[in-house]
Amino acid sequence: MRTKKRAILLVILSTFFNSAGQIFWKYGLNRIDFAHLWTILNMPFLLGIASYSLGISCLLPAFKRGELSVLYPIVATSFLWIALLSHFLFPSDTMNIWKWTGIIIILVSISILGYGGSKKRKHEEQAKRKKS
Amino acid sequence: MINGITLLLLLAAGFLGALATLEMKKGVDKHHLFRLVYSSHALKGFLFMALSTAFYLAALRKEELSVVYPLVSTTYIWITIFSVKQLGEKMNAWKWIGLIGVLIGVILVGIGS
Repeated sequence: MRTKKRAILLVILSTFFNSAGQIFWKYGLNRIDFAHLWTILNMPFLLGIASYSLGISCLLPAFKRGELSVLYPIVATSFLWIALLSHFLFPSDTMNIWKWTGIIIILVSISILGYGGSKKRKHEEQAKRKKS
Repeated sequence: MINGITLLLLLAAGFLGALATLEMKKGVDKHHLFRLVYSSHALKGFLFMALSTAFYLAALRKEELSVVYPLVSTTYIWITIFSVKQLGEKMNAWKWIGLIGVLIGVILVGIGS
């Protein structure tokens, strides 16, 4: 199966919602008192669950239109979103050269993966040529 | 130094996360999206995902991100193995380079965290 560009975009959108979900959870987890379990129902924690669900609703249709070995590693774009969102929301979280280098390597690698996965295979091309 | 239980929790979280994704992929390949709730794949997928997330959060309370990220990223390796062995997907040079690059990137983000 050749991975459709639309599937790749859907995965990227899904990682955005996933990252937002994790950020909400970070706020929410701090408010949970495990001695009083109802504190799990705090607003940020619930928003986190909602955002996570949206993320999964984007991921499933994406999986229908592509290969798992191409689409799954793209989930690592979440590192970019987390870095960007944390930068604005948690001023104490600072970026450094390691994190930036890592994120840039992830983005370049994902582009290579996407290229490798959406490129027409040799035998597919040959089959097409035979038809025409 | 990371303790044994946290190490096991994180490796299990990585493996279960991959299993969950594999089940979801099998589910969407077989069923219409809106009928997915009736499939056993979706049920297993969500179960594994819940377990994986629980382990991940438990480990996250004890361990630094610099340890957590690289260990959980074993998911990418499992997914690739499952894709090839169970879904019959083909790897090519571009996909290998991309995968290894993603792993290196995740480890670097971990080091910086």
